[in-house]
Order: sequence, then structure tokens, then C-alpha cells
Amino acid sequence: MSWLLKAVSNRVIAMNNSRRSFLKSSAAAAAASAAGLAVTPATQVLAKAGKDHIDWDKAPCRFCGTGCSVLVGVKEGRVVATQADPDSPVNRGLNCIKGYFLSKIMYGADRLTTPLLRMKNGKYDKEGEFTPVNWDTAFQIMAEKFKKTLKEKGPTAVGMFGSGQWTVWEGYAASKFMKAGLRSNNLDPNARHCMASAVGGFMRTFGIDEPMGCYDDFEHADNFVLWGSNMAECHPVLWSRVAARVLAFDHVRVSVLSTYRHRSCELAHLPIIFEPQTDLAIGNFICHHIISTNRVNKEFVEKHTRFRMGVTDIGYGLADTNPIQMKAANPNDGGSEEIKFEDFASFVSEYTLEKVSKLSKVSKKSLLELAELYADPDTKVMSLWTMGVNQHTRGVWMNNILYNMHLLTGKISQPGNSPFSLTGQPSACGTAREVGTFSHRLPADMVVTNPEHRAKTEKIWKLPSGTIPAQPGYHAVLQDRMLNKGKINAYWLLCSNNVQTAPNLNEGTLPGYRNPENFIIVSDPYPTVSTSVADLILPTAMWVEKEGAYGNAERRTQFWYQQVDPPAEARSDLWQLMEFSKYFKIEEVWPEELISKQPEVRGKTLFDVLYQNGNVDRFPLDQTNPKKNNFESKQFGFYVQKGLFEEYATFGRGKAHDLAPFDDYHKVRGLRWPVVDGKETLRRFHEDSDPYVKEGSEFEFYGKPDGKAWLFALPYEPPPEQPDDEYDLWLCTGRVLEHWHSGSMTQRVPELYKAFPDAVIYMHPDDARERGLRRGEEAMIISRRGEVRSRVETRGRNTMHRGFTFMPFFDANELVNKLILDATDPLSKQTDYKKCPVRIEKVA
Amino acid sequence: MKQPDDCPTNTSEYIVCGLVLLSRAEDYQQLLIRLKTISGLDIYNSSENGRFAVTLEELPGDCRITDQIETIRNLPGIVDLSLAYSHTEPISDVLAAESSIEPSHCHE
Repeated sequence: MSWLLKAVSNRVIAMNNSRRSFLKSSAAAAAASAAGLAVTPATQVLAKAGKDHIDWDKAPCRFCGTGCSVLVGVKEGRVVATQADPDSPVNRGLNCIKGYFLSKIMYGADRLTTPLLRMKNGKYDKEGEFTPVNWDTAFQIMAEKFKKTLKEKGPTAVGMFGSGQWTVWEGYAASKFMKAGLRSNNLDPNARHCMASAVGGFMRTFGIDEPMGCYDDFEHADNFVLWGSNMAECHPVLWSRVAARVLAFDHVRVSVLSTYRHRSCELAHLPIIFEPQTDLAIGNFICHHIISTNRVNKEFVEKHTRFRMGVTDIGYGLADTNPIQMKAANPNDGGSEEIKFEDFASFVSEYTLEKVSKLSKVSKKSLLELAELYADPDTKVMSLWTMGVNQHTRGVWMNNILYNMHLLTGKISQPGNSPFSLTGQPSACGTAREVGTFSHRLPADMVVTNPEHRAKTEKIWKLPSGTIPAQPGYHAVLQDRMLNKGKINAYWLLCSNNVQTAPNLNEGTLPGYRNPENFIIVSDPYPTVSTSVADLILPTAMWVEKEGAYGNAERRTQFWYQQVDPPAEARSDLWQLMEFSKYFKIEEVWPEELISKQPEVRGKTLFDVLYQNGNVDRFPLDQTNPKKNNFESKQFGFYVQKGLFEEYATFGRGKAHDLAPFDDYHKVRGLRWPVVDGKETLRRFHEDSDPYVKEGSEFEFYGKPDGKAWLFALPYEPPPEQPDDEYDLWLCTGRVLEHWHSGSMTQRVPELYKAFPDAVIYMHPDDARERGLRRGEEAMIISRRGEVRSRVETRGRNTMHRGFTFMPFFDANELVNKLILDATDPLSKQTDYKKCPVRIEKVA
Repeated sequence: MKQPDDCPTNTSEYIVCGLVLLSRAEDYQQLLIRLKTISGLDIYNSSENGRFAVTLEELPGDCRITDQIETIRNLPGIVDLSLAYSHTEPISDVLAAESSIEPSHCHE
């Protein structure tokens, strides 16, 4: 420390009853309140003394799917502080470390502030340099490329990649623009990479998406079982609720199932490290144990369930020409046949303790102890899972098997009995799933393949019959393959950094972006790996620079106001989508046959038809909050967000997806749908709390026509690749506490960057030693698809066993996605990022 | 592409955090002792059932607060650590405000 710094420091330390005391008292009071500890009156007075010209307002956190509410402090047009919201039922005055640096994600030195087009000699050139242009120029070249593609190849040759970080109305506006405006279902969100398997599991078992339980279950469960989830790092605020419960009650236990030992294991009474992919077998063993020890809840099973035998040997979602895929007898087949309980019992009876212990490399004692948690009728179990289950070539199956365990015992839809699928993005549920931004989906769980669903959508959107195409569009990985083949030529990526995260970067993704036939647009607040390979970059407003809505993992819809203005020419994705729609005349995108069904659309723009349709534009500007800016509404002349939300809400009201009136959400810390008669729903499918359950039925799984949930008989099947002599180690990828996803935001926060500056490869010390490597040395990690350099870590938060390695994916300088096979779950089309054979060598 | 090292550093800033720490009751006494060794940390209140409300400050030249948080997280006996409050502002503002705060607001 220099003498000057010392002098400053000494002076501050000498201060008393000053600003420092005020700030410190505020910190102490907030911590004590959140901890349930007393705050002295003196501290309360001091903490209140200096609330100095900061405007505070609520917003949900920008990061994970937990949906913590934060208080955002704005001073002189800039976010200067964030505090955990003590009034939020989600986080109760607590935030994780990322949440606390939220204010800084907006002020990285390299924010994009103007559109940038690759140009050479004054015009667009794919090999040109990024050159600032105005928005009109940007939209002109975009429109030119989209129109040319539509004219030459039709709607299947344009595409859009969206996000579970979009606000609800951004996703909705995008869905209208693509599925109705351009008549292309080639819209898919990055949520495909994180929870498509969860959706598949819900739809197969219950016929309706999203968890039946809620976060209140944390305070009722006796046992928490984590399946492929490191909540301590990835959902830390929810983990705090688990920890508080464990510490307060002696009988409460935590079990953690994982393929490596991580921070969540520190609290676990039963840590179980299993061989990758054998979770399928462990789940089937638990079902067998429940049945063989006569602990099936027979009354529940008879009244409320059916049994199905699933089609097996379904491949790995690889290209049809891939030799691994060609071996599958029933590729991509999600079919099933009705069976009896006895057939199911016979099926799972093959998963004996001995067999599963040998396969999974988990001790018999641990397997039995785990199975007993589920079997014991007197213990309440909350199962929690995320990417370990979803990013899995049998992810839908594993979701189904988790529900099997809860349905056999009737441990569902009651306080503390809760199979709970956690999500990774702030609005993977609210936007990607509920709005229906997937290539096969429409709002409120409807699908494009169903003619009635398309007709209903067209009616609400005031469009002629036949506007929405019936064929599902290309999903995320398929979009990359089609860009690669030149079958998609105009492509817009928003609110996502897919080049850093898509699997098999070198062979599967990058060639498509740089294909000379293709025009790639990337909208982002910051330069990323994806913008670096784009042809046009659009600068994006983020988080509280716009009015927004997110939906979290417990069905809670939360709103926020625009609280600051975006920098320079940065504009929200909502503005970008709606403004761009003005560049298309209906005759340029729809065939005459369709226009003739509704001649009044003739001569209009897509903006007129999609957003000035009497629904979206029906709320006047004076209904916006006069104390807040609302850039989009002022630009378009009506309350855009309210109009889009209310039209969207039409889909779900009366259909078990009821949303409250728009204005209600600005007054509360979110509401969990269905919201019926002003009341939110804590737990679905149970008569006590769900207004959609018929009186006297106790449980009703009304997503299925007869109200019965389906249990699936599904086997263990091996992963597509396993370690061998050449690639002898498993590699798993994932997140660390300090960074979120590809790090495009958190890497720009100096504190977070310094806390975890570069990715590392976690290894067992003996594995490192055998390769001539020591902690901190540079290693080359090599798979069949590529190689990446990283530094070896043999200590710290993740402990590897022999033969297993882990590497986070936040670091743009260490693109671990180069290594990953583009294998997906054949049903959900979600990539498996958790099981990749690699070899590791010392860098000479 | 710029890296965060290009951003302003924290050396001229004052940072304060309010933290909630959880431990098992049997580890409470030991943790109380261990926490007192952490530079910049003050225990505001605690309970023998293993709950702590603490503040953590970073002044110019001090250890980085994120490093201190990691140190606390790794202390034996810590089961969970969450943040309840954080504030960052230029040290010059803290110094400037010293003379402008009304004494009557600041009784402790």
C-alpha cells in the first residue's frame, strides 16, 4: 500500500458517525434482518439517516431462474446500487454474489452503442471491417437479406435464435414476427440448451408444463435430493433456504447425486458420486425398491396414474448420417404403449441392487439409503434437478423417471413433497416456455402441429387461417446444421452468445456463421464471441434499461419498470423486433392466396398487422407510469408492453395458465400462475390449492384428458461416447458461482472477473501427475472434435475422482464447446454438455 | 474485445457488504473466534444457533472484498454465506460527505 492510500485509509477509518457509519449501519441492519437477528434502534436510526437521493425500485435479478427480487438504486440516471429485496418471498433479503454486482454489469467499458456492419469500400462485405452505421441502414440491409432469402428459398431459409433471458413481451413479439409475420417456425431459444428436457418430461408425464410445487416447499421438506444440480453455486439463494432448514431441524437431510464432488456435497448427509448416465438405472432401482418393499401408495396410483412402456433405442439426436445415430433402431421415437402396473413392476425389477451398484459404482448401502427416502411413507421429499438431468442424451427419460418415484409414492403436489425442476435462466419459464418461443410451440403449451392450436392462435392474433406453418421449425442444434449447409441464409441471434455455448463449435456451428451465403445478425449489449463472427451487430438495451417481465422456476411472473436509459443508440430487443417489422410490406412476405383471405391487410406493413392490430395498441400512452421513462411506448405511441402482455394473457386465461391483469404485477413481488380470482396458486394438481382440480377428487392431473399422470418404463441406455484408450477421461462442463453462463456480463464486473478470472480444468492430482502436470500448469484438453488450453486445478471447490474432469464454460478465451459432441436428447433436442471423453496433455 | 482489466480498478473505492453466515450450532463458538481474524469484518450480531450478521469493508489498499468473501466461505464450519447488502462508492465521496452529514442524524 502506498503512503497516500494509507493516509486515505487512516482518515476513513478515523471517521465516526459519518457517511461510513451510515453505510456500515445499513449493511448491518440488512444482514441482521435477513438473518432473523435483532437490529438495535441506534442502527436503525443511523441506517435511515442517509438515504441520500437514491431512487429505489424493484426488479427481478438478471441472472438465473431463481427469480430473486432486488432493489435497484438509481442516482442521476445511473444504477449505483442494488440490495436484496427484504419484501420478496423468493429471496427474503438475500442475494448471491452475482446479484450484488448487478449494477455493474451495465457499465462495462465496451458497451455497444451503435449498429456495426461489416463493410468494405462503403458497402456491406462479409470480409469487411465492422463499421458504425445508423439503425435505418442496419434495418435496410437486414430487410434486403431477409426478403431475398424469402423470395428465393421461402420461410424455412430464415431463422432466429432467441433467449430465456428475453422479457415476456420480447419473446412474444418475436414469436409473432417469425411464426406469423415471416411464416417461419425457425425460432428457437437458448433455453433449448438448458431445459427442453424438463419440458419434455412435464408434457409426457403430466400433459402440461412447469413444476407443480413452489419454493414454499423448502420449508416443509424432510429430505432434499439433488439430482445433477450444484445448487450451492448455481442457485445459491435457494441453497440458503435448504441450509437454513437443515440447520434448524435435526431430522432434515440432504442427498446429492452427482458425477463429481462439488460445493453442494459439503452440506450433504448422503453424497453419491455415480458413473455418468447411470442415474437412469439408479432411478429404476428406487422404483423397484419401492415396489418390492410394498411401499407403493396403491390408492393414489390406482386413482391418479397410468403406466406406459416407452420406445427404446432412440439414438442420440445426431445427424442422420452419423454412424452412432445410424445404429439406433428407433431414432427420435417418443412413442409409448399402455401397460399395467404389473408390467412396470416387472420392468424395473431387472434393476436390482447388485446390478445397479455395479453399473453406477455407488455402494449398495448408499443406494438403499437413498431409495428408503423415497419409499418411507412418513418422510417428505423434495427432488431438485437442473442441467445434470436436462443436458443428457436421455434427459426426457430421466425427468420421467424422477416423476415415477414421486408418483409411485404419491409424494407430489403437497407441502414438502415436490419433484422440482430448477431452471437456469431468468425467464426460461416465463418467456421461452410459456410464451412458446420454441420451434414447435405456441403460447400456453400449444404446438404448431395441432390445427386447433394454430386456429386459436390465428384468431387471437387476428390473422387469416393458414398463416402459421404446421411443420415445426429447426431447433437450436439443427439451426446450426442448416446454417452450415446453407439451408438457412438469413439469421438473427438475440440475447444469447450461442457461438460460445453451442456444441461442436468447429464443425457444427462456426462454419455456418462464416458461410459466405449467410447473413448473420447478432444483438447484444457487449462484444462477444458471437458478435465477432456476425455480419451485423446491433447494440442492445439490457435489464432495467427497459420495462420488463420475467417468469421464474416456480411459475412466478415478475415485472419491473424502465429505471435508466440505455447508452447512446442501444435499443431493447423489443424495439428492434417491432421497428424491423415496419420494413416488410405484407405482399413481400405472404402469398396472394393468404392475403386474399383477409384483403384488409393488403398494403400494410408487418408492424400494422402484428402490433397495430387493435389488441396490442389498445392501451394509450397515458397508462404508462408517468414517473418512469418507457422508450418503446413513446416510440410507437401506445403502451406496448401492456398491449403485448394482455394479448398474450388471452391464451392462458381459463386454460390453467391464467395470468393476472397487467397492472397488478407492477404492485407486487410477482404472482404464481394460474392466478384465478386474484389468487395465485402455490401447488397445482391438488384440491387444496389448485382451483382447476375438481372438488372431491383430491388430485387431478388435468393436463391429461382423464386427469391421470403417466409413469414410463424406460431403461438405462449408454451415452453415445465413453472414455477409451485414446480419450481416457470424462469431461463435464458447467458454471461457477461468480460467473453466469458465457460470462458476457459477469466477466465485465471487475470484482467477479478478479474472483475467478480464467477457466481452469479441475483434475484429480494423480491424473494430473500421470500426465506430467502440476497445479497451475497449462494443459491441452483434446476431444475427437477439437482442443482447448487451460490451467490445471487440483484443489478448490470441485473435487475430481480419478478419470473425471470438470471445466466451466464462462471463459471466451477457453472455448470448451469446441470439445463437445452435438448429441442431443432425441426427444427434447437438448444438448448433452456433461459427458465428453477427452485426453489431457501437458503443453510443451 | 476489451477485458475487465481495462475497466477502472477499485483502488479508489469504498465497499461495504452485509453478510449472513450460517453454521451448525456446535461450530458457533469456534467460528466466532475465526471470524474475528478476518480483516475488515465486524460481527454485528450473532446467535448461538449458528447465525451471524456481519459487515465486511474494503478500503483503498485493503484485500479485495471478493477474496475476503471467499476466505470466509472456506472457513471451517461455514455452511452457507449470502449477501444482504452491498454498496460501492468513490472514497472521495465518503470523505466529502463526512462534513456534510448532520450530526443529529447519526447518533449511535
